[in-house]
Amino acid sequence: MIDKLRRVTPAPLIMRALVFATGFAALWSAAPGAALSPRFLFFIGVLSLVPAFAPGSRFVDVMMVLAVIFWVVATLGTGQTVTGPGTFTTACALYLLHSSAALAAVLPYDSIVDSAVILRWAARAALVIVVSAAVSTLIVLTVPSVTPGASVPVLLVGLGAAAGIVAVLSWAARLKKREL
Amino acid sequence: MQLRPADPPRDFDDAAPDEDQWIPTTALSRAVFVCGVLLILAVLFGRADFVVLAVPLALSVAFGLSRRPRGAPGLRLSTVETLPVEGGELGATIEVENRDITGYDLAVLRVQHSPWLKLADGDRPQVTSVARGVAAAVEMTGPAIRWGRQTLGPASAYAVACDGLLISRAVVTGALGVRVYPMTEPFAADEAMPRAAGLVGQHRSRRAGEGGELAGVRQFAPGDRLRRIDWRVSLRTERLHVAATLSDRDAEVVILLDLLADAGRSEGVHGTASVLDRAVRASAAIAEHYLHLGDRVSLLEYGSMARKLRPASGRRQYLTVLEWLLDAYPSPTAQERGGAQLAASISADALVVVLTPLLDARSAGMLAGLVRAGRFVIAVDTLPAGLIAPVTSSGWSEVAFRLWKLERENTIGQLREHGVPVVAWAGAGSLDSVLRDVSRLASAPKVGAYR
Repeated sequence: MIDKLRRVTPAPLIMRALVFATGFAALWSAAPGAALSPRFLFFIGVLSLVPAFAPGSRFVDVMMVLAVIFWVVATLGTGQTVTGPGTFTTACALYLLHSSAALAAVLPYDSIVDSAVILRWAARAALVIVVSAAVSTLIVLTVPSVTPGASVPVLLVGLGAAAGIVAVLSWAARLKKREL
Repeated sequence: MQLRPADPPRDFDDAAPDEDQWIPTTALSRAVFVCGVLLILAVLFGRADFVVLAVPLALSVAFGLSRRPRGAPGLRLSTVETLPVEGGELGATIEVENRDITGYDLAVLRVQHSPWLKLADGDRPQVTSVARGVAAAVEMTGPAIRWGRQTLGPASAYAVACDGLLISRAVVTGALGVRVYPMTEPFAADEAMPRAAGLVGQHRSRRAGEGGELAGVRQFAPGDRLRRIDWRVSLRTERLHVAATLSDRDAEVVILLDLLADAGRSEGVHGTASVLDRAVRASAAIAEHYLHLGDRVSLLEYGSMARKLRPASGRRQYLTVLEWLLDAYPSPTAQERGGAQLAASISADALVVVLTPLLDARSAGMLAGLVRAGRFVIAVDTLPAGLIAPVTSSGWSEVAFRLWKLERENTIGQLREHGVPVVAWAGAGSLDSVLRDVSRLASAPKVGAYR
């Protein structure tokens, strides 16, 4: 174990630190404001360490789902006001947690990493965030009228659209190949 | 029954198998799953903020998969063939090639190699990015610290593309053989060879003939060349005198490697040397020295393999000797040829240099047998100096070690009595004193069993 620790190189360590930071930020920004006590912050801090140690595991999925649950509880349960910047911050934190974990998972802990790899990843993440900001603004401006209690046909159409988007993403990913 | 055409059709689609070269990572299923959950929640609760949460994830998947890689990355491992000697630098290059329509986020390269090749960061994975249509090379250099046939490779690589959503199957190259020649310790022997033979060489023979060494001045005799006339002496004595010279001859040196046993720890060129290391380096040094003088050198193995290198001279033979030494391994055997059998394959005029640790009683017997057969033998002790007793719990190891040392010294003493000079290998000038003794023996009148 000590030999392994001695072999750790800076780049994978930085990526895992980023997984920890973005995981913490995702849970912190999604959690209800009333729950943000020091004990809760310590709890989510400890929780965020797990994906940092195992970025290739399903615990990253658990962290993201937990952040979504926190968001549901905060906005629907406690009636916390939803703000545009707050929502986008959580969205960025979720994306960065996902993306940094994806990169950290494929970087061996003792690898010598070319700085171009990290720069390329950072540039891509920045591009995704910038485009997301534009798309999110567009969505907020064009779809403000959707409210709970819409008619059943509208609900079905919406669910169909959501399922369609997921199906398109799955088709693009050809997830069935993974079984091979 | 349908038969498969021997010639594949023109529209043979070789892209199909390449599809399987890339498999989704857990990140891809995660992104799709979380996106789906958020969109369904958005629809169920009629909230746009859930859509905003899903947007970056959905966009990253859409961007990433808009251009999927298809083929496997190409991988090549190469080294610069510079015939390195122990301690010399060796360079290895791993090249990963992207023949796809999209760039790789990164490629992780690993290379296995012999522990005697100390490539800088060679034991760590190397991560580099590879743009589309280009090849990225990672170079590693480091010293090769021990002689032998070392292996470099196999190298393996996998690539990651589409923002970490797809990962390629690993590609692996074959291994390369790297020849690392032994370092020749400085060696010089000034003493004359016991018996020179042949027609050319740098050794003074004891026979008169064409050469550069002045043997004396004598009266002119029929057959003498006119250019040999010493005019100064002829004028003084009023009779023709010629300068007599000794002929220059070469000699045959047989280096006999005792490979019945190995001992000691090998730590490379800058560390401690095992018996085999000392034997191989000493052989290379002795061969280099005598081949440089123009002598013929041959090598023999005393072990189960019993390899033999035919006698020859020159630079080419030196390279052959080095190559031959690379395949020297300890090869204990239950039955080994005696000295008399070995002597049959060794020229009577050859100087036999036996490199032996004298750890096996058969080695001493072989030496005695060679001497009895009339060969000029020098035993070079290759056992490393400064051996310490192995530490055991019994407490008797120190006593046993001393007894073993005494027994070994006794064997060496007996060999000396039989006329086998035993000298510890110490590099330059190691053999001078014993060569003098052997030369004296060679010039003495022979009686009895000498052939």
